[in-house]
Amino acid sequence: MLNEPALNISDIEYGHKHGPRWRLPSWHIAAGQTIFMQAPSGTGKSTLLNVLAGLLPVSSGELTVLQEPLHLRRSAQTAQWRARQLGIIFQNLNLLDYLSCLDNILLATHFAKNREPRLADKARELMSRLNLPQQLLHKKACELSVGQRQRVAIARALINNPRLILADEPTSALDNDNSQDFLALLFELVRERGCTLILASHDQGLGSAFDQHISLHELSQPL
Amino acid sequence: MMLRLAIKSLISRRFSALVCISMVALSAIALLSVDTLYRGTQSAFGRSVQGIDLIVGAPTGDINLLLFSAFQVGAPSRELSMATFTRWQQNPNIARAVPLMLGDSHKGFRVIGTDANMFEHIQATTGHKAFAQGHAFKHVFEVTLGFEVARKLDYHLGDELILSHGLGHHSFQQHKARTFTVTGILAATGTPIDKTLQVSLDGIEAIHWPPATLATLAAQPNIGENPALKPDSLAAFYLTLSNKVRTFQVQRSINQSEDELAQAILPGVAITQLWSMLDWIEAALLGLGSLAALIAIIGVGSTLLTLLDKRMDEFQLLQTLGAKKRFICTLLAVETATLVTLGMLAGVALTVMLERTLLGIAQNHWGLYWPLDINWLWLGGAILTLPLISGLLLAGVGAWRLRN
Repeated sequence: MLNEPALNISDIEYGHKHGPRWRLPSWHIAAGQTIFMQAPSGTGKSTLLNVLAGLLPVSSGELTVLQEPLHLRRSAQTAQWRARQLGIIFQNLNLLDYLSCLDNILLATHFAKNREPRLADKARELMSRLNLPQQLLHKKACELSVGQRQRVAIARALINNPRLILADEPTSALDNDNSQDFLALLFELVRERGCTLILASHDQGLGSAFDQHISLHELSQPL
Repeated sequence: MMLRLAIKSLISRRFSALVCISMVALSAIALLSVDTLYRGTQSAFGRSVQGIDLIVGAPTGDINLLLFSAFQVGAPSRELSMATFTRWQQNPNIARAVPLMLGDSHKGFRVIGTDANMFEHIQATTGHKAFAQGHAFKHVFEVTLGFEVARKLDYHLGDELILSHGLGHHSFQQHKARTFTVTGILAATGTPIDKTLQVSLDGIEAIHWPPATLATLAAQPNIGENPALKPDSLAAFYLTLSNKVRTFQVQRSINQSEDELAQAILPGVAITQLWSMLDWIEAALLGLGSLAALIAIIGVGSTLLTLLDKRMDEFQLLQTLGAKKRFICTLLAVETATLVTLGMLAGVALTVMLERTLLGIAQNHWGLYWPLDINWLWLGGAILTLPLISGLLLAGVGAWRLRN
């Protein structure tokens, strides 16, 4: 399985219905790689990540993510696949404010129909790996600091043992120390599990630890 | 998970949720109160003529005859002879005839001259004993009281009253020559009878005698004992037939009688005529109620749509976690339906409480008695369908907003 490519793109066109559109001729990623995608904000970074997550359809070309031919799927058909195979971390708005951290993490297992036993224990374990005190589990997400919320987002992204993590500016709401901690923890857990990681950010300074760097404007061109 | 999410999300938005619930509740109160009050009035009117097949009086308008004979509103323009009453009372088709002599009052309450048939009629139509205390009058100078009269004027058995001629509250001519003794107090009937006093036909005749002539009467003459006290005319009478099929036949023969001009009306038909004259009131009330409901619907709708806009981030997050649109729309439908259901239940509960209180006050102050008449079938249907419809609507809007 590790030999299968995590991502295979040939000549796709994508974009929001009424927004700008882009063309991406070719991009391949081997499984288990950590990719840093550098892109200034407003250059279609989030749009591309949405495409990779199956949330936005491509209008032409071939897009295969984790052996799933997304160009053949409508976005409604990808929900289950996304829940099981992907972990997604945003800049903010990662958690539902009105749920406890534990419920936020377990929400991901609900949509993935994850039937593993003792999921709450697993969540607890992840929390302690992420240096989050156990009593935070039962606090509402809105009571946490931004740094804590981003780490809960890692736990939530990893709870279903995904094969690909997509992170969209996950550190830009954090100060420098916090963002170094965040990246270190993310790397540790991702490497341990052999996940593929695509992290998109405008901040080139983050990129040092990644296997591969790529700049979005080399990858895709606006139409 | 869905329900947990719906409940927690509603709790987190408790302020907007409460606003929605109160708006739904208020519109439910507006519509329900209009409906129940109107229906309550109708059924109170209907109850007043229950068990009466025909009302007979001197020729006048149908509604006038109905109003003065059954509702103690207005006055007869002419009277009927006692002979006509006696003839119809003895007719084999008639199960019960109740005579009515009107035109006198006591402290603003009307006095009805009648006989024991009145109390039989009350007992037959209410299904309980006519008298709460005491018994019917046996003597000429005895009086029985409607429930409200006794309560409002704080009269008890054995009290002595003076009846006045005419209908005013402060009548100039008071029949002071003889006092009447209270022998009975009627149980509440929820009809205008509650606000009347009843004396014998002989009693009414007696109070119109000059004082000098009255003085010649025995202290407490029995009813019917003195032929001089027998009245020769009356305002109207109720007829209850032994066989309802004959109603039209009897009505026709009264109306065509050659002995004396008389008019017989079917009280139910007259009430329907009265309502059809007043149907603009119902239309106006319902119009106002519907307007209130419409305003509330628009208010709730705009609140929910604003909420929906604010929640698009939340829904996009759910989608990235692998929630299908169906899940999100169902969540919206469940939340909306919960709000509307809670609002309607609160509205119904408040209406029932409010009307119980108001009806209690109305009963205490004006002797008005309305049953709390709620159309539970309609209401149940509305409580089941309206949340469903509003939930589906909002889910539809949500689905439309979530399209790519």
